[in-house]
Amino acid sequence: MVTLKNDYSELEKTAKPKYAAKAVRHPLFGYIVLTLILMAVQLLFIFGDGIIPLNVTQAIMQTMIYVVAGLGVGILLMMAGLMSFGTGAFIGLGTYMAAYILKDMVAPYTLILAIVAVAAVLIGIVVGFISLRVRGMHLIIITLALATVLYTLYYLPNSFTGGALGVSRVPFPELFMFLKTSRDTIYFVILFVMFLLIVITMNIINSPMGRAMLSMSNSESLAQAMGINLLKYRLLAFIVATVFSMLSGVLYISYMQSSIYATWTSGLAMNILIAVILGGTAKPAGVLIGSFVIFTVDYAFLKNIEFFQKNPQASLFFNGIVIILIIAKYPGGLIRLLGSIRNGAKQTAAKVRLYRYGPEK
Amino acid sequence: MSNVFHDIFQLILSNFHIIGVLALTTVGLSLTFKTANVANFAQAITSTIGAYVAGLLLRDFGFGPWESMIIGVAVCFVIGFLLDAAVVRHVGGGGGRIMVTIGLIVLITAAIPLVFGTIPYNFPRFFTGQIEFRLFGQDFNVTQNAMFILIASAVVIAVIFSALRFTKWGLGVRGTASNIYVASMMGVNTNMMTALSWAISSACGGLAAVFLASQTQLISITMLGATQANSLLAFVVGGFASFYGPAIGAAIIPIVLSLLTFVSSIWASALLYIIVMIVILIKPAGLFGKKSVKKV
Repeated sequence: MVTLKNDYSELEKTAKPKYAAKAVRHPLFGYIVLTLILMAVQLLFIFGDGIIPLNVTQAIMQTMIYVVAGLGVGILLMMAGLMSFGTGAFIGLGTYMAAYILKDMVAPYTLILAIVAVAAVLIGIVVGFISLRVRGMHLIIITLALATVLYTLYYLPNSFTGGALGVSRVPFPELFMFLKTSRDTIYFVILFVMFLLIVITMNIINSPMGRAMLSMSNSESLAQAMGINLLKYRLLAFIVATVFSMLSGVLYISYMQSSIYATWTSGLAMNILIAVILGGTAKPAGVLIGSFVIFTVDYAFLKNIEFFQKNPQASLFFNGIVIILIIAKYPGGLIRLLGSIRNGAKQTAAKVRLYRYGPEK
Repeated sequence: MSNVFHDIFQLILSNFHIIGVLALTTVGLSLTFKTANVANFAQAITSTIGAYVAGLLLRDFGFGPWESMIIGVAVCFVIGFLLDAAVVRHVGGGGGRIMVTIGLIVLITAAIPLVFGTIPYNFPRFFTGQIEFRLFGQDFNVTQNAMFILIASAVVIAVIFSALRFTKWGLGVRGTASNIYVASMMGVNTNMMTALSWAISSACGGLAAVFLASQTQLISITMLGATQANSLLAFVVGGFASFYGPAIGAAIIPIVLSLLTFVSSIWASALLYIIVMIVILIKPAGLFGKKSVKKV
């Protein structure tokens, strides 16, 4: 490359804003900003002496846990077009496994996550092989069946799940064998894991596997004709969803310290599914927004308003209206709604410019 | 041995009303599935509105049980019609429609306590007597009300099936179910057919809800929860292809469930699901269905 000397200064001037613009346009930029904001919220909660109420951070923590499961559900739904009601049961399985490890031995957190992930892969393969021969209604029924069987297993008296009493007083995990976590610091661990899984999800969406699954969800016959093995990719999507759900279970137990069978119903799976569809499955941001609306808003904010304290059902009522409106009007979810609002704003701005300055020459 | 037979048969007899209720909801489910191509997860909760309306009329407005039942069912009919005309018709795709019905569950579950209050309602039995009879030297008994529910459900389903078979409406519904585009080209008002199917399906659900309320004498939000799950199972076991398959499935499921309850009460529902799972994996089209080939 030959460049004249006096051109350098010019280049630097133009290059600097370009890097900034590049950083802003990076697909992960928004998620990094969000992570930093959430980190700041918790720091304010710890050091800020009551600026942030406890229920806000609790709600955020819970939302982050369900976002992790929601990411997997989103992949399964968008990529493979499969609807699973077994998510809740898998989250439960994750909590029980993590509790079992945490109670009996001192293991670093990463090891627990790895063990549960490997177990989830195995379970995903077994369950997927049985259930993925069918789809649509049948798959919903089979995943419901799975959820019911696992629910019954959790409920029966045994030492693994603690039967009807559940497991409780699970100690907080240790990071890398020496760093003990507490109720405050586990937040950062959960946040970090969530960020990591968002990055992984985006990579999955853009990988050859993601492309194959996307083509499959658009037209199965066409994808098959292009040489895509349907069962293989459905199975892969199912395994990813299982791993994400069970990791979400590990996060749950490391924050809540207890787990009881009654939580792990197909109703929880339905709530996560609603959150995912409400937000939109095209991007992890959709899952984040949907989970925020379903899991955070009510608990963190509406509980403080008098009207909603008197009528606890009202917020659910509005949730239902929002869900139906969004699905009917914007099948792409809230993320699509935001996109079209942005486009609309751009168009209005262009019109205003046209009106004020006349047509461009 | 004969004692075991007596217990099992008595258990089935005491679940007679469930067979009737389940058959009604399952027929409703298959109507909406075949015309609107949506598994209506919200059927139970929309039906519960009918039961609540009936309970309210009975408690506060001095109506008798029969009139309240008829008005409750009529309200359900209107709700079903409006649901399709206002919401479901405008949503594209099977997945989106299923999610709309799930959204409806959230909405109505929240709305019922706001409208009807949080205290469960009562509903009397239509008939209070017991039928006692002897069979193979054993004594059995079944409540008159359960027997009435079974017979009335059978009559209603027979009416619906003969309407499907012999009336113009039935022809339109069958045409819509088999191919909605061809049916609309042939001059069938498919929107009307679908909306009417929703209305009738919803009315069936409402009738089932009032029947169940009359047997358990209680109206609450979760009263039809188990019925909804079981009617999905019955629907899948019976098969999508025909209208009568799901009805037979609805008769099988409660009987199998009572047998399983006899084996183990904790494991009953899990075992039922496992059996249904095996049926689905062996015969994905259901016991009475034909395998459909998807053309490109």
